[in-house]
Amino acid sequence: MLPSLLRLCACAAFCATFLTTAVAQEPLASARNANYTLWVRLDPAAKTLDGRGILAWRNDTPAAANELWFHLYWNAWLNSNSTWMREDTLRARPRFGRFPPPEWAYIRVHAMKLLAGPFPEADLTAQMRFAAPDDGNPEDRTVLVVTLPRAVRPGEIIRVEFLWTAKIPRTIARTGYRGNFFFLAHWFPKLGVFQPDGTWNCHQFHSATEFFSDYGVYDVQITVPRGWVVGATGVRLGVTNNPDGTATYRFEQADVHDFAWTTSPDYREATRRFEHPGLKAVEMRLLYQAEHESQVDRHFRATEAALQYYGLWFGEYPYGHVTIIDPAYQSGAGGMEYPTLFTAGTRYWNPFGGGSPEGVTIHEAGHQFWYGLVGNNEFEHAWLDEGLNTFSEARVMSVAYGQPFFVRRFFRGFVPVAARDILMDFSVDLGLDRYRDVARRDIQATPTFRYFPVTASGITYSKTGLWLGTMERMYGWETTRKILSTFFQRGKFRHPKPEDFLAVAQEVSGRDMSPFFDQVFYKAAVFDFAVESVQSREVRTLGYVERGTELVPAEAQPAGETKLYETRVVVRRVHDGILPVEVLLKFENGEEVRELWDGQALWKLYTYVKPARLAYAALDPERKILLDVNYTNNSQRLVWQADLPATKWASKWMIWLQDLMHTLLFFL
Amino acid sequence: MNIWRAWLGGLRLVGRWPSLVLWVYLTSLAIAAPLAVSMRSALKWSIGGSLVDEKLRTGFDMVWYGEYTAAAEGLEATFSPSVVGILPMLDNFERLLDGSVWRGQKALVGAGALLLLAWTLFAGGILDRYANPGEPHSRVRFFSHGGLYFFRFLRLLLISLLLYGLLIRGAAEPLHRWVEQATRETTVERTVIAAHASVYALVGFLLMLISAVLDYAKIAMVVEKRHSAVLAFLRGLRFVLTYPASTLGLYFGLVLGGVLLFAIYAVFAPGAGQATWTAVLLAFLCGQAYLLARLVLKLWFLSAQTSLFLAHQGSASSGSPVTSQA
Repeated sequence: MLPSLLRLCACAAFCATFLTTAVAQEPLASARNANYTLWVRLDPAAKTLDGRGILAWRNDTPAAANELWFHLYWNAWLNSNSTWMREDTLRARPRFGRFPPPEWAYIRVHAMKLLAGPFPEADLTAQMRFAAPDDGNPEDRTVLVVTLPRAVRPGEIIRVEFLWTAKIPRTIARTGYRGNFFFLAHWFPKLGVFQPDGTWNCHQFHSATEFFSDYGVYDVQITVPRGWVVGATGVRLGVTNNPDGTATYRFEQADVHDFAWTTSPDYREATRRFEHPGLKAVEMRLLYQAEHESQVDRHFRATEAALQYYGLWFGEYPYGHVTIIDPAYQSGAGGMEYPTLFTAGTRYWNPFGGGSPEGVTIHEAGHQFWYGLVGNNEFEHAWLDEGLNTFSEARVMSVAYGQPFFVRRFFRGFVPVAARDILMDFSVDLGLDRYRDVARRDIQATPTFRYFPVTASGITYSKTGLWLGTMERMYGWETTRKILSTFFQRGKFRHPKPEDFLAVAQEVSGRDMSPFFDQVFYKAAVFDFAVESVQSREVRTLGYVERGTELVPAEAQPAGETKLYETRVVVRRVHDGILPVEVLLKFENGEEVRELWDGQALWKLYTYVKPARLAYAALDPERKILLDVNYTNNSQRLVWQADLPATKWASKWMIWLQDLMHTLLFFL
Repeated sequence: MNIWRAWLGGLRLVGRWPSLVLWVYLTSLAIAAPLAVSMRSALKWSIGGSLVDEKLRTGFDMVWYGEYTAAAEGLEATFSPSVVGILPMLDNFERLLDGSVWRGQKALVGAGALLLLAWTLFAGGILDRYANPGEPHSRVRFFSHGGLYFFRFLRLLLISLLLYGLLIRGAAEPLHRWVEQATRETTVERTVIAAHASVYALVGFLLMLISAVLDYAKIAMVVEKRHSAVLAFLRGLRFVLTYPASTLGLYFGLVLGGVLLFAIYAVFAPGAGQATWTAVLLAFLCGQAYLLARLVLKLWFLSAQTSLFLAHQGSASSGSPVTSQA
């Protein structure tokens, strides 16, 4: 039975939902088939949300829908029996285990009602049940299924009203509270995606996955204590001061697939306008922490860099506004993307040039494109946004900021000290170390929610970034950019799949990319090419040689003849990854020989007779194959020159050791 | 005796016998060198004939470092880019304050322990010279005093380690944990920094206090020919408590000298860019100069404190009023 409040508001809510869809100002860009009107009230003391929502859903598939499936994400932290929690314990350091019960979370739907429309009004509360489509875990409460009185036919619109209460977690997976800082993502019952085959794509919440939903219009009214600053997806339409000391903020946004918001009395606000020829202007709003006042400009500059380069390379950011959140210290909310809003994350001391917070800001701003606009299924193919974005971010960082320097943080991480002459190269690195560790532990084509939790980021982020970087270096930036921009344009406001990306790559490059994708995507091939041995010996004939009609001892050759050297180089494919690889042989007289080895055989011998010794042999000298897990073995000199660098770095290490020993003298 | 005179007197004593500094320095060099040779071999083996040598010659290569660490074990795994500039000093200072200074790789801890034992042996001879500057000294006397006080100082060392362990386990770690708990809801990093910095300051102050007491305990052992490490420690404590202004003033004055030395080194500390043998050698010598200066400072602590101890002892025995001046 629905509470009377719900009944009283039902009519108004229906109209509001209808209007939301109708008044959206932007030209229709997405399908807008899942539209929400939400009212939510925050109780900061009790750490709870009370909410009411109306979902207007249109069945855009040719199949009929007998049920509605909802995500109840926060139930992942209801108790230790959820699938999320069980998977999280597979990590070396589980994220939630040590918190006391009041800091756990839940979301409970009290009532659900089908509003009158093509259907007669009906109470659905009794039709609700939980499902666990991925692992059958009967304790998991992250998927709610509601059986409808009759099937929703293709093209039909239904409106469902629901009431819910949620206990806010102490920040976990970047949502929750710390002190009076609140960041609220995935905070309402969220409809899954109905598929043309008549099934719902509504996965349980997993430890290593993110989210997936349809595009729509969100009209959200948020009630918080008066004086608190609110940042949210979309544009603020207005604020109403309530007699109970609260204020209600209304935000609206069309053509997005999620809505997140944040509030705190401590936020400070700054705004700036991004303008670049050929791109739509964007109003940027930064909510920052007072102690990060000096880093305001850095946040804006990094966001501008992302909007500019992603916009020029892939396609324009269409919304005209973006909200940047500088989350509170130890809030755990940093580094996350939501439509038209993202969280960055910095520290009180963060030297400029060290890559932070610029890197995370560009990454999350970049997600407005890969995730926000191109709405792939993050449960199943998270690499499509995270991987593409890792690659794009590294490229923007390189172009906009150059190489960041190494920063070591001391004293519990509070004090950063920069080594300004030790430079990182993100456009080469791309998380190679993370990938190397997990290279064989999962196949990328596996649905992301099936990845072993520990391997997920190494595959999703790093491996994708590395093979995109490899593509760029093998086929050129312009080809790679066209692949990405074509995929962006075709996938914008849609839910593209891996096959779409692979097809675009094939089409745009004009090449048969299947051997490449077979290895990097459908298999866990590991790439490692090595120069196994190099030799260069003077050509000497033993025995007799013909001199005119005579045979003379070989040693009796006249002096002054040009000496010849036979050079033999063995190159090896150490693992199973096969790619054509360039071989460069440089001789002491400056002569260079370049070969293209197809990499098919496990090894290949190159033999040359030249008037000079070999200086060195190098495989992939321009470092095109970023996936190569060991680049040090890609080259070999005939005469090693490791003495100086080894001595140099060992001598520095020795100073560190002596200083450590002298520190121990403190004890007497 | 005022602090300034103890300072100058101590410096004169250190300057009079520079060989003492050299002994300690050469010992540390001798212990560290074989390990450095082993590290050099590991690095050389990793670099091999690879063209990465060029990047490591002119700077550093983080991608190579990733490959190196993926394969490194034991001693080799202790190599990192944190060996550049002032990072090693900060690293070791952090370890001292966090209590992880003894938790490193076994060979490194062994090397440190070896130098500490050598220092335990030298300390008797060194203090004998500083306490009796007017008497004739020889290498034989140096080592005979070293041997004489070795086991007494060893017991003092055990007390020192025990107190350090108690300070870290009983105060530093619980206090940091308490700060973490107390600032759990704090959303301002500055506040948390200030709280942890207070703990570091307290721990640092207590460590220095223990160190000062231990120094006077050693001095008392030699000057007053004491056997019991416990009584010597109590004597040192009593001395510091009797003359807090002069003892701590002298100690913290010398600590300031150490800070100044570090600041100077921070200006000149070589980075990663030495590309020639000469530059590598100069960078090495620069680091060694810092280490040598650090040892000079260490001996300066002892000599100045010995001067102060003798002065106060003299004034006490002569019945003249004892006043500590800061």
